Amino acid sequence: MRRLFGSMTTQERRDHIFAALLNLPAIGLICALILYPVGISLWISLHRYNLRRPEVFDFIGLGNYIEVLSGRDFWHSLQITLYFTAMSVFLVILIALGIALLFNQDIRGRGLLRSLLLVPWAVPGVVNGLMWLGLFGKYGAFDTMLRDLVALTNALLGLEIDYLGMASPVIALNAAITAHVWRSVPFAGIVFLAALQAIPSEQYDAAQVDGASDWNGFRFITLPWLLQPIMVVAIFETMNSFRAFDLIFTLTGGGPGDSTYVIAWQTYKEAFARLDFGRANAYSYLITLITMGLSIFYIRLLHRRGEVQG
Amino acid sequence: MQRRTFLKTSALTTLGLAAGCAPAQPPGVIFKGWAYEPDLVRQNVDRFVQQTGIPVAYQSVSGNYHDKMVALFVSRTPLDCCYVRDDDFAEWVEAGWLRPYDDIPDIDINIDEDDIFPYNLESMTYQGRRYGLPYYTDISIWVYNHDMLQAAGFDRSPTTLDELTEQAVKVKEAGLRAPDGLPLDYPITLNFRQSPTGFNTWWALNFASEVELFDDEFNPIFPDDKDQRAERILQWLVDGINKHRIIDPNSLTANSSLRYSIGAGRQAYGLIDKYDLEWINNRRNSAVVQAHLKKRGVPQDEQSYAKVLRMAPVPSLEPGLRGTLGWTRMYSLAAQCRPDKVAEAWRLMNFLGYKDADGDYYTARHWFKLRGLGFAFKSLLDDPDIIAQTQLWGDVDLIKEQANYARARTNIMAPWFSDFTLYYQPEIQKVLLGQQSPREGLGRINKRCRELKREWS
Repeated sequence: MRRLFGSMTTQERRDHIFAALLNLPAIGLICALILYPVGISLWISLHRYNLRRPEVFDFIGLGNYIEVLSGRDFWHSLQITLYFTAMSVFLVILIALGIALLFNQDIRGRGLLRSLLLVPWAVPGVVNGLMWLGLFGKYGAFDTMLRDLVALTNALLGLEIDYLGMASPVIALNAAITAHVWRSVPFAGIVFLAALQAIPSEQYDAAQVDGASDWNGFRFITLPWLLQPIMVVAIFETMNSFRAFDLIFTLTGGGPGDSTYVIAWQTYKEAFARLDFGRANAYSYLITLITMGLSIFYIRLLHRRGEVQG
Repeated sequence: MQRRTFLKTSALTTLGLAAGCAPAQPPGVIFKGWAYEPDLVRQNVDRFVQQTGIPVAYQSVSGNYHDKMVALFVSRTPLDCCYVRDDDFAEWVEAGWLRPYDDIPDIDINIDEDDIFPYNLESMTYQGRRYGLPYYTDISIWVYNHDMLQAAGFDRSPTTLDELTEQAVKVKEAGLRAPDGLPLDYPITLNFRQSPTGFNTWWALNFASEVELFDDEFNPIFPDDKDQRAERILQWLVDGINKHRIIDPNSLTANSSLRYSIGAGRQAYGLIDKYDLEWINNRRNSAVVQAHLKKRGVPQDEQSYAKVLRMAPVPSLEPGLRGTLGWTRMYSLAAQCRPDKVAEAWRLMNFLGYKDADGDYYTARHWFKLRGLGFAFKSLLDDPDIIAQTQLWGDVDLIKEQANYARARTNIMAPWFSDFTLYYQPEIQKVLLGQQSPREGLGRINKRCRELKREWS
């Protein structure tokens, strides 16, 4: 205690204790709402626990993890999720960057366009899924366009490609990615836009004086300034893609076959369809570990490069 | 303010808030169900309250009913009586969330079980104990667009699957269009979207051909069942999608009920729940019926129904077979039903799922009258009012026949039914997409069933 409070006066010590007491409710709430569920979830993942037989709660150590990792379902859904995530992160960054660069220009109606950019972000996941189901489902706008495109290709090249619409595993998975990207772009766009506005204009002026082209201006000024926001967006979007569930629920229902069985969907099925909470919690921890690993990878890749001097 | 006073006041406020947040239990029987027509449910409940004086706290559960109910059961939220789907029934009983009604003390259980269709009774019984009384129930029926078939030169729906292929190919070649002008690309759309309560089509087609998928001990007997019928039915579906192109591939992902597509005239044949027959033959909902009546010059306010979308026995591998799928939605007592409410909850369940104080199947009749919902009671099919109403849009004799032949899914009472559902649906879809042969798909499902059976034994 003496070391903790050092040479404080009695009044100062009282103030510190009082401050700590005032913080206790908040700390208690954090423990109750975050630490307890995280801890109990880990504990359950180490047990055989199916709600259909709630009386059985046997400690099996890493049994659930071994079972999950040795089954086909996990690796299949991980494969789908990695494709889903890679495509989503890439497209979100690319499209959001383009939009941010455009909206950073002095164009007419910029304020209105920036507000409209936020609209997809405000759409709930389930509504987003249903909306894209309308677009990709039978007689939907995209369905009709794709159908006509396939028909045209067949006619021009003498091919006989069958158009299956959302019954095609390729179209279903990529439709899910499209819907996910559409909803995720606004957040990334706003982050990039904020970062672009923080770049000192003197740097561009100096580059112009030195005769740098627009491309070189982007490459040597804009991009280094954006590396840290890109890292933030990449981490956020990776976690977001790994958690994609509501979209799959409404858009594809996991089908056709098991072509859209992303890992969050698989976790949901373990938890709520099989009621196997032991395995479902093991899935959740595996997702956490994977996203954590990917985040570390991003940070190592981009963090140092993103340190620029203003 | 003094520090001590501040801390004391904070503590008291927190305690006060905690006490205020403690859930107050509503008076009367707590009754929950999924959010289908809650106002009509409330009407039935009000009548019960009027007749018995027992208060009821009815709450409709919106969203995913299964998942929300699981949360309520696990958290021991006060609940006396609830809706149960036959798909979830075995799972919920096995988990100890429902209680049977055949052992309630001091209650005279007087249910005329002979008046309940066998598939309903079977679906509400687990290991010999009675758990449920029917909310509504129905059978899967085959429907066809009579006007389209006539335009293609046919006067009746096919009875066998081979005949159906021939007819559908000709219907497709006839270049027919829906009332909104869209071409009829595929005469048949079925529902093969993955869903915990889905794939009724697969079961109905199998039962129509009298396929036994499981034995009495829930052992799978496909793909080597009698004459390999399960395999042949799947092959018919695969050919319909990929070879003859008479079945819409969207059958695998279509989200909405087929009644919209049938009512809009975008398909000539389909398999639906019988209660949708009323909906699709009502000109308010159906462009097909509207176009039909308009063509005949029938004024809007003169006639609401026309039997253009007709029911027929589900086509089978051989002629003369009549089977189909029947399913049940029921009322059950929750295991957490409060001891002092069990008798009252039973009376509510008895009223809603059986007879009112006047001895009438009041709620079953009410649901049928207002929404065309099916019922589990044989005698109601002889009721003159019900016959008169059904004849406006359906065929009472055929409904009676099909209801008598209907069967519940053969392994629905297995505690691993929901695990089976998770596995077989994507496997069947892979077969339909041509990613594996029917034999391979059925073989994999068979293997998984045996594993599940071992796991749960």
